[in-house]
Amino acid sequence: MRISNPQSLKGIKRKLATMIELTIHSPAWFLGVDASLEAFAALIAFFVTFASYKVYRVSKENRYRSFMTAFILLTLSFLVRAGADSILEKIFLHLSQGLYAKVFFIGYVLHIFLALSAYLLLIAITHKIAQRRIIGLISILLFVAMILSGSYFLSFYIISTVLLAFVCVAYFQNFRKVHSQTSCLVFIAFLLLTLAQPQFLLEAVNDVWYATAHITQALGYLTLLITLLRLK
Amino acid sequence: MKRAKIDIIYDMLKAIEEKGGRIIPTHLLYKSNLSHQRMKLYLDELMQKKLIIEETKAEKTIYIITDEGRKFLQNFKRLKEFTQAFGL
Repeated sequence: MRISNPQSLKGIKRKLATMIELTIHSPAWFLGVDASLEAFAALIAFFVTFASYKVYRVSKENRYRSFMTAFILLTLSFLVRAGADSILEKIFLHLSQGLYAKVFFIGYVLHIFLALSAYLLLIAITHKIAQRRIIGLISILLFVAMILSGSYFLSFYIISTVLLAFVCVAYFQNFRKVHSQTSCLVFIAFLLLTLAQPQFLLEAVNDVWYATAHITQALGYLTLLITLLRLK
Repeated sequence: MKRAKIDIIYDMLKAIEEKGGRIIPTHLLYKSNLSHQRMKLYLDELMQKKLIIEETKAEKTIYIITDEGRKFLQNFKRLKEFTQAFGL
């Protein structure tokens, strides 16, 4: 799309910046820690990707490829977010407002898009939704709802809570079926990831929630790491 | 219940291993519980992955498990635990 009027381009940028709320509701003592915890989440997601690749290499089955793809998307999602957070928190004083908005927008919107795609794939895998049309329909509804939303953050964390809760239910059912320690750990990991989402929503009320949300999320990924280590 | 591909591969390799690492097609067909056509497909794949090799002696074909195949059998338990833990 070509925008001939530079004023309208500025207007769009300003609107987008407002939509994503150009502030990080973090306690001062937590600045920098959040980016480290996001990088930690990316690392664990990468380990899960690698483990599922090993299964896929042997079986070449689509479900393992989809599972691997979901965790690749999560790895990228957290890498992008960690990158954006560290840039914004470390050098934001030297950035112009326009550049600050650009980094924020690209980093956070990409994080949201990648994370939601990953959660959708996990829903499809855990609930064994084989029909692509159904997955396509959910994706369209979800992304249209996101784009038209007045606040990307609010919509993202509400949708993430719902999607992860569904994944969680599937993992609880799997634990009841398999009754192994590792399946229990996977359920706990996803329960923690689910519980982190509403805490992110509360960050606007009190910035301490931003820290607790990150810590809960990191504990979820730590539980995934423990699961992987037990499977070694 | 329908067996996953990874389970079929494991059953075939286990059958070969239990026969001392060498098996004739008829025994493998019986042990792996597959149709002849499907077994042929899996055998081709196992050979492609270098998990087994085919040997013909005096017009008799035998399938031999390779070191890679033995390694796979050892790793399989771990892979199976992974797929079970994540409900795959």
